[in-house]
Amino acid sequence: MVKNNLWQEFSKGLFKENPIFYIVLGLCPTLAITTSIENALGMSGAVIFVLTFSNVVISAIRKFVPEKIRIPCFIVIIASFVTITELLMQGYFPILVKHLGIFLPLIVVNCIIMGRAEAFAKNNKIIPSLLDGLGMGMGFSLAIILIAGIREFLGTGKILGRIVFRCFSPSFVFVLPPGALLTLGILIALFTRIKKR
Amino acid sequence: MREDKRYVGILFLICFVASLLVSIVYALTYSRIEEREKRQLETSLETSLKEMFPEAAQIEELSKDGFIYYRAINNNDEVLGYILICEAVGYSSTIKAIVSTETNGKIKEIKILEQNETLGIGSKITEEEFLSRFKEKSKDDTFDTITGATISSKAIIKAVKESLKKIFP
Repeated sequence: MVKNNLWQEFSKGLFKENPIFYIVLGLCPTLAITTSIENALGMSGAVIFVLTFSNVVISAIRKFVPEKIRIPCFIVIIASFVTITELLMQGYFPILVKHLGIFLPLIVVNCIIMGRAEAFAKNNKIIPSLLDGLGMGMGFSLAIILIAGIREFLGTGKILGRIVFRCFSPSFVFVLPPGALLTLGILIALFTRIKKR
Repeated sequence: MREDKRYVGILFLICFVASLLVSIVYALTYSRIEEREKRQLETSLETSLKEMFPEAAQIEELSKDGFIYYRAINNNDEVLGYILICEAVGYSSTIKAIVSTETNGKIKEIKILEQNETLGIGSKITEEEFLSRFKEKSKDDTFDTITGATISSKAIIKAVKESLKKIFP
């Protein structure tokens, strides 16, 4: 029974409560960086990491932080956590910086992190919070990789930077902001349709 | 009132601990990060210099009115050509390019070191089709821009011409 619950905390983020398609949070980075799969992969790694650990930290101090001033507390904690991670990465794991470097600072303003802290971690124990962060992070990753794949393919004719079809002329609009909104809108509509069945 | 004071205290404590931790980590990693960035820049420059003049025995750093450029020299003390680094403000990023020239000021090769232009549009400046337009040209020639990516390609063309003018007035 307990095991089942824990599995649910993890798996709900993947599809049922997908952060992008269902909760519709964290759209700024989603729209901005999904121009190529490579970017999406970098962002995914960074989000999974930060979301999991920020959930753990928030959950660990949840009893100490009074309800009324929780938001500034969470912001300070998440921002310092991200900064520390970034500094450590730059100092000791230069290879990671190459792939995740520019995405980490973006995450501070990613509202999924705040959203999960508010909706989940502040009311739950550490292990479920960790699983929630992991699941939500992965759900976010799946969604942005899907969006990025569609946009990269339609917009540049490439997948992972390699040209797939030479005979097809890509339509630039898909790598530009309107393409991001169109793709996201259609995907959310499809998602809702599938879920309703 | 007493509640308020407690809130201030807790918020202060959290901010204090958070900034303390950030400062400690910063102090520990600061010198490592700086050293690594410097080394990275040096090695990337070095490999480009060697690729552009593989027959050079020595590459000297020169400066003219504060503009730094490089001169490639072979074993017999003959000058093979020059290498300059150009910076241009493109559409959405600063574009950095490295250009090698013959002794008479004609462009041998150009490479984009850094750019973050719009993918699929401005990013075309990194493609061989555009870069090959620079070959054999000098500062007074005209260069064709890329259709649809006028701002990015114009910026880099202008920067290359200006840098060339500094060395070959």
